[in-house]
Amino acid sequence: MPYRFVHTADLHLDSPLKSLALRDSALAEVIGNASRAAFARIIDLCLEEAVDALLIAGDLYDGAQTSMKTARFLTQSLRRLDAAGIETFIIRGNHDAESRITAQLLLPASVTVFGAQAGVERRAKGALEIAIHGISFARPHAPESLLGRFKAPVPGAVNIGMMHTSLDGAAGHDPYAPCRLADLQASGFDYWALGHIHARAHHPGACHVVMPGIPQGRDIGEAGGKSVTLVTVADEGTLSVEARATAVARFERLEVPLDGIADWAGIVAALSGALRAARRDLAEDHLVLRPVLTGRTPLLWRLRRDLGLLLDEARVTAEGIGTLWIDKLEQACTDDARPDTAGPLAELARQIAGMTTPPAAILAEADAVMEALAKALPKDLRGMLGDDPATQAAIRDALLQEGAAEVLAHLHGLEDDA
Amino acid sequence: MRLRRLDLTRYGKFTDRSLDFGATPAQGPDFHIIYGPNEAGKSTTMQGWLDLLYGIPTQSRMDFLHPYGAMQLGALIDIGTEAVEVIRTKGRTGTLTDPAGNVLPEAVMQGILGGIDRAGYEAMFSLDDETLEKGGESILSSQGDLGQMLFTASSGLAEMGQALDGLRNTAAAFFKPGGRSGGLADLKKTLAALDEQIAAQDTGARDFAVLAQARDQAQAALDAAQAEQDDTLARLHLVERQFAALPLVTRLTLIETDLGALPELPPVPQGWAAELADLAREQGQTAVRLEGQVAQIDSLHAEIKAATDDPAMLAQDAAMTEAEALKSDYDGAVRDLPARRAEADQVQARIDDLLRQLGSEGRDPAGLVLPAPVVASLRALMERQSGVAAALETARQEEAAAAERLADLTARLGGDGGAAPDLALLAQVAQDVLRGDPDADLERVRGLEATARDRMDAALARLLPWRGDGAALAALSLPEAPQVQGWRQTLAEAQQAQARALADAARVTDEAARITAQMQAEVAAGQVTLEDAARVRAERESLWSVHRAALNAETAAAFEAALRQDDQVTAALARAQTAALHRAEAEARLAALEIDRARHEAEAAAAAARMAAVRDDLARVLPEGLDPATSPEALEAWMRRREAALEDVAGWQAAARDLAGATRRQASARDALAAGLRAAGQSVEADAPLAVLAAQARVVLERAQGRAALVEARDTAAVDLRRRQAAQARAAADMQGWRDAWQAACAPLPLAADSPDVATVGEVLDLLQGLEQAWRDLDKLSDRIGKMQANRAAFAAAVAALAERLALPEGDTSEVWAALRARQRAATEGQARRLAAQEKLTAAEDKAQALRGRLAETEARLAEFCAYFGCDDSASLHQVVMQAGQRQDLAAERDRLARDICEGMGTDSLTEAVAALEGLDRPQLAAERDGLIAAQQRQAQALQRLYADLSQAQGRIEAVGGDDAVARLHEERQTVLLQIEAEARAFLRHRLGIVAVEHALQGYRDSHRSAMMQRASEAFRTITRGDYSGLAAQPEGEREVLVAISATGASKLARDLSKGTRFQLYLALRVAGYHEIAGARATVPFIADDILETFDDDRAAETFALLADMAGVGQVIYLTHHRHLCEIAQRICPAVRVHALG
Repeated sequence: MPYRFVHTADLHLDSPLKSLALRDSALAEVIGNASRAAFARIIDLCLEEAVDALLIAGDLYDGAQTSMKTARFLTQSLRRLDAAGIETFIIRGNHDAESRITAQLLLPASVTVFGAQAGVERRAKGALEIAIHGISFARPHAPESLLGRFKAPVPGAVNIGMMHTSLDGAAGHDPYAPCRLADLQASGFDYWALGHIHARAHHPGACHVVMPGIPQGRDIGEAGGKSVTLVTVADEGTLSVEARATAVARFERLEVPLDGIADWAGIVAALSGALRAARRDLAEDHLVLRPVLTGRTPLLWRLRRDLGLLLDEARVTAEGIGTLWIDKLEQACTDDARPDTAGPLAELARQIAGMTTPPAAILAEADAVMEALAKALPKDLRGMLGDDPATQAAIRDALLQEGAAEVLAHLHGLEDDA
Repeated sequence: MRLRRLDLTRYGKFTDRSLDFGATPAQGPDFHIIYGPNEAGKSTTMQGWLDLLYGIPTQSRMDFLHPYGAMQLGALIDIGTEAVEVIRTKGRTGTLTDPAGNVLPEAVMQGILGGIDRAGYEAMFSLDDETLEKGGESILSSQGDLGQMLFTASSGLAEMGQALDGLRNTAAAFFKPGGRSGGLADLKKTLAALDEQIAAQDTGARDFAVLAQARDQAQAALDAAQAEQDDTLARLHLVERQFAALPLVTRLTLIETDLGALPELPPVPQGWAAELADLAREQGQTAVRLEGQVAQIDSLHAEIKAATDDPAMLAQDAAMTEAEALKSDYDGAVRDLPARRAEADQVQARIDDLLRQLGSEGRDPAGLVLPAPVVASLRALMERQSGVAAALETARQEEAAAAERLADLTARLGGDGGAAPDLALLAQVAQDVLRGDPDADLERVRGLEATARDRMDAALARLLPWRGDGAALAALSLPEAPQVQGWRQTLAEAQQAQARALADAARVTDEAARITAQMQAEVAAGQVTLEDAARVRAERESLWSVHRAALNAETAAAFEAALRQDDQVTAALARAQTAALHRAEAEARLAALEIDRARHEAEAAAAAARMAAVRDDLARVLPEGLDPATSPEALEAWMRRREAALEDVAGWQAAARDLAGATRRQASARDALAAGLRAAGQSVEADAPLAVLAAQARVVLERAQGRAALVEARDTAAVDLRRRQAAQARAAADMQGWRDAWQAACAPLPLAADSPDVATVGEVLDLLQGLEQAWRDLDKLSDRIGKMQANRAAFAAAVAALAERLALPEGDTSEVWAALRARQRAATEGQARRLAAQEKLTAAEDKAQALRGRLAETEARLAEFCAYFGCDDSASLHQVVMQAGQRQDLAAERDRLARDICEGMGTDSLTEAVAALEGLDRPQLAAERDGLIAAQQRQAQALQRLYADLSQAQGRIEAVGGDDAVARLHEERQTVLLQIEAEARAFLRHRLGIVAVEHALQGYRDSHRSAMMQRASEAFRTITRGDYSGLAAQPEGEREVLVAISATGASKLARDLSKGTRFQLYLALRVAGYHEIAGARATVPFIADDILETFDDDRAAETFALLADMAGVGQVIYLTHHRHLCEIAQRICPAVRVHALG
């Protein structure tokens, strides 16, 4: 009789989705709080597949999360498993260690939470011996590898290790209990149930090392399909590993090449075609897309001026489809050089392009505008204009160039309307 | 690049239309005017030029004549010294070809245009009213900013200022430093509201811990109180059981004693006690009821014996019933007979009286009664008699009246019934003649003729000094109206041309005088030569050497003096040079002005000559008598008056013809009437006027009409008399017929006279009818009396027969009948009573038998009971059964008590229970029980309170819930933050973008100001005709603004200029902009579309001068529908070429 379990991590329950698409209250209604919906799907999966256990490798919720409603939702969900006789094994990750609601959790008896000291839980099913090892984060940071602190694998049993780790340093992540993949593979364990990194990774072999990734992406930075891992340990001890989709809504960048399109209607058509294609190709219930306009087009000035109108067009198309939503439009096109290089407008554009080191008077005026705005912004957004003088200057210079291009686009529009 | 020829092959309304602009002029401006009236296709031409260059748009509106597939344009384009021929068709690709049909790549055209796209062409190289207007407004919106105005002028983007303002406003709508409203403020409010909601709805971990602790404490307190209450309740139950068991033991002892006192007896079988009581009661009751039945049987026997029995009477029942039926008729006859007999006697007396009145005493009335038809025919004749007599009288009277009327009419006609003369002809003639009233008609026509003659005379008088009659007037030979109109126009144009030329000459002379005066004023400046300057400079240098060597105060003073002199000389030299330059310019201008003046004067002379020629032509065609100096306008007026006079002459001629006709009609009417009168036999006066003849005819005709009416009345009266005579004869015959019928009808009557009158016969008829009635009444009465006597006899016979059968003594019928009825009643009643008593007797005997049987059964069962208990009578039986039952009840009560005690004390044996209760007493137990109950009540209250506390604590925890309300609020908050971030970035892009563009505009200003300002300044001076001397830049804050310098030297901000002057300023700037662009690149044809419509001629002329100036740099095409503008342009720039369109 095989032993089966579902492995997930980084639930980040009640962590909000970040997208301007949620300004649409209809979308906010259907995918709002998708982290809960995704977790509910995981529980449903465990029940449908009648697995023996659910393994959660850390980060149940955000560290700053203090609402007991979140904790209560977690326990209510785990009680459903308890009622069905399915065990739950949990280790705490960096966020859980930070969280104050961790201490208040009252979990059902079928839930095992590993402590900061290495623990082993042994289970027998038919002829199979299963040993589940785990260590929790006691503090938000764990600069040292935790691998050496695990107990030795139990002889004759299938050994499963649960660990929250940044592995050997993933891009964009501080080191959290770093350890090398090779060391894990050489540890004598049969399956490493990891957590922490939000993108899925599976390293098969004699020892499977699996990072399941976050089950529901929260912004465009967590784009792509999201899943959990369903593991079956066969009677003779061999493991089969499969991914199961969990996300309610999928974030995705969508490249829309505009090369060779000469008029505005063509751009609108290309964009709406790309949206429809995306809806056909991707299976998730809801898609939150960020179309990225690329390619070389003589209508770059029009894109700069009327990106808002194009966004409206995209939203209309999306509304027609029903389950597709626009995060925002990104414009990354390049322009043909203006054929008229002698005209006054071209001369003005050259003047601006030549402003690589703008005169002090302009910089002072720009700084004053930015400083006044920074003071008026809410606390949460003060950092958007840079935290140190060098960053601030870089942001300012970029805005000067982008802004000038946009203003010139409006002037170009006047010529076209004349 | 320039346009040499434009082919509108199939485009818009044009088919195979070509405009040839010719080769580049070797010298002078390349200036063209396309002239055409409205709708001639100027706009289409301009559109065609752009479509040729850039392709025909997909949705072109130029397909109304030639469909899309057929549209074609062509052009010959000069590029430097080469010429390129191209053809443009409509389509998707390959629409540009050479004449051989080879497709040319669009890049060829791009190369020709130097990269200018269509929008750029329209902005920079074309100008129309609308652009000019927007340009004027842009000067306001730029607030005079020099850089922006120069850029606007050369790029043609007139709405740039508004666009920049729009972006500024968009940014300000989001955020304004120091402002409290706007997009950002709104979003921040939303954020604060969300934070408040989150705080209100969420429960944090720390608060939750407090809640959990409170719940645990409440649970512990509740558990302790529950245990305490359980102990109290256990003790209370024990005490209550002991308290209850103690009295039971006492009662058990008493029952044991009672049992011992009772004798030993067999047990009473089940149900016997009840049955014994029933048997005793049954026995008594049955005996009593039997006794009653026996007594009733005896009394019934006695009743049967006493009842009457009369069978003989009963046998006559049927005969009695028959006699009863006759009894009522008998009674009626006895009562009514005497009255009926008296009535019959009265009727007989009445019959006798009637017979006496008819004179037939003693006769049988039956022989006197008349049959009904005889009476009816007599009555009918009596009714008719009065009608027939009256009709005869009326007919007689009417005949007499008719005869009298005829006699009267015959007398009035005097016996003369002869014929009158025939007047039909006269009547017809009079009607025809008098209907038209020829006299009145003649009078009216005469008046009209006089009026027409007066009008004609007046019209001819208005033509003075020309004199003559209508015929002479009609015969005059005069020039055609268009010819006179042509003279008038030529004369007016020549006059205007002369005035304009003279005014221009005067203006040029004035300017020359002004320049001369200026030159003379400038001559006054001092004169310094170059030699003087060199000398002073040499002295300064030598003194510097001395001072440098000595470096003392003296040498310093000497050097300073030399230095100052050198400065002065240098300055004077510079002034002199400037003055010389000015003088040379002024002289050149004077020479040019002299040429202009001569040209203007020659133009004035030519105009005067044209006017003289026209006047000569006019004098030649004037009619005799008119002033030879008559102007074309006066001649046109005289010719219009002549036309009117000719109409009036024709009017008088028609009136004269009408008058002659009327006179003729009156004479012929008089002749006709006279002839008619004569034909009717009337004598007619030879010269009698028409009116007299008409009256005579009317009198004759009226007389004839009166006589004819009388004759007609006499004839009618004769006919009437004959009709009346016939009617009278008919009435007399009717009367005779009635008399004959009357005679016949009266024959059967019992009367003496032969022919009785109607009244007598009426009376006899009434008496005969009364006799008939009385005779019938008597007959009916005799019949009824007979029937009554028969009834009385029949009843008496029946009663006598019955009495005989029953052997009753004879007597009066009524008394015998009463005795019979009494005997019959007694016999019937006796029979009924006997039968009823017999029936009751049988039933009573049956009941008595049944009661005897039941009594025997009861006694047998009692004997059985006695045998069981061994007693001999039923009295002792009752005693024994009662004692046995008592014993049985006591034993049962004893067993129940023992069971209760064991149960209450929780033991199996009674002995154990009794031992446990040993030594306890009830008052002590009662006291303990009360104490325990009070304690338990207190504990129960405490428990309730603690339970409520626990529920509340648990409720607070439950209320936290696992719902996602707070999570959703966080998500909403996150979205608002993202929105603020996105809008803040857009805000910064706009604000910083504007800063960058403004800076770039300053750069543009700096690199173009010198050339553009000079040119714009000149153009502005020209176009304002010297009202403004030029333009200048003036610093204002951190920027520079444009000011206009007026002729008086005062400066005026651009925004303070009038609207018209702002247009001119914009035009001046555009001219400068064109020259600036022309300096930087190859030009393309500049197209101006009727921009001078609102300009007066002088300003238009100056503007053409500027356009001609532009045409010196590149091709300029001006489109207009004003011919006078063509003339002005030709005057200002004789080299201009005018191309007519349409």
